[in-house]
Amino acid sequence: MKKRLSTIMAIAATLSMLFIAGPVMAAETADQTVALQVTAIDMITATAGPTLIFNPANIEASGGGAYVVGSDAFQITDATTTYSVTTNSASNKKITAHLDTALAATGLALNVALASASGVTSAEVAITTVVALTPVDVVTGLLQEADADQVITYRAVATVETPVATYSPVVTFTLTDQGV
Amino acid sequence: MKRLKFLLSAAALALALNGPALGADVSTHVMTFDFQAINELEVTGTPNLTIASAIAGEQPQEATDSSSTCAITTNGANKRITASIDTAMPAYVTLKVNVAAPSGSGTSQGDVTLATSASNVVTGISPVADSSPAITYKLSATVQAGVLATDTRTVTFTLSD
Repeated sequence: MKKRLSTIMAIAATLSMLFIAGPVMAAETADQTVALQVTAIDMITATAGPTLIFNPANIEASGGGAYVVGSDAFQITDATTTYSVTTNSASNKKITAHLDTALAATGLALNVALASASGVTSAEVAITTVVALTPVDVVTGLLQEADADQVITYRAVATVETPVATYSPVVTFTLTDQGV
Repeated sequence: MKRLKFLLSAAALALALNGPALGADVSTHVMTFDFQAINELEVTGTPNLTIASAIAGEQPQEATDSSSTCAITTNGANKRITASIDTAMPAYVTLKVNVAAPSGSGTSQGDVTLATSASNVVTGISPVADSSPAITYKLSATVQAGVLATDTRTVTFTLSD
C-alpha cells in the first residue's frame, strides 16, 4: 500500500509541471530612429498687380492732394496690393524690385514702396527705368521672418505729354541675400 | 466454513495491499498552469521628416511621416505605452508622435510632443495582440529654427503598467 501510494505520488510530482503559454517575454521597450531635417526656406508672393487709371476722377495733384486744373503733372496712388514673405535664413535677406522693361513713355514715372512688419523699408523708390540687371532694394534686414499681407504702394506720375495708351510693366520682387 | 471465509477474505485483503491493483485502471495527477506576464512591443519603419516649404507669410509647413507601425502583445490589464526621445529637440523645433490604440483596446493620446521624459501615447490597454497600430510622426519648426542639417533622434517606446 505504502509502496503503491509512494509510486503514485512520485508520478504526480514528476508530472506536475509549469505550463507556460510561451517563452517569457521581456521585450517591453522598442527603439526607433527618426531622421529630421529643415532646409532653407525663402518664399515671397505678391497679389495681382493693380490697375492705375488716369482719368479726371482719379488723378491727384503731383505730390498729393486734390488735382488743380491747369497743373501739368498729376499722379495716382494705389495701396491695394500686398506681398507675403517667409524666410528661415540666419543671415539677413532683402527684397529688390525691377521692371521687365523700362517705361519709356514721355513724362511717365513709377514709384513703389513696400511696408514691412519686421524688415527695414526703403522710402519710396523710383523704378521707372529699373530693370533686371540693376534691381533696387525696397526692404532690407529680413531675418527669420514670416510676414503676411504687407502693403505695396504704387505712385504713378504722368503729364499731359504722356501719350494716351495702356502700359503694362511687369514688376518683379525678389527675396535674396542682403550680403554685407 | 467459517475458517474458509476468513482465509479467503485475508487473501483478498493481502492482494489489495501488496499485489498489482487488479481494478486500478485509472490514475490521476495534478497539472499546474502558470501563465506569466507577457508584455511585448515591436516597432517597424524608418521615418524620415524634412521641412522644406512654406506658404509665403506663414511659418514653415509641418512634415509628416506615417510609415511606421507598432506591434503589441500583452496579457496584462490597464497597460500603457509611453514614448521619449534620447536628446532634446533644438529650439523652435517640435517632434510629435501619434500612436493608434490597438484594436479594441486602449485609448490613443493623439499627437504627443516628444521630450526626454516619457509621455503617455496610449493608455488603458487591456489584453490584446495587434500587429498593425499606426505610428505617425509630425515635425514642425518656426522660422527662428533656421536651417537644420540632417539629424536623428531615437524614440523609445515602453509598455508598462
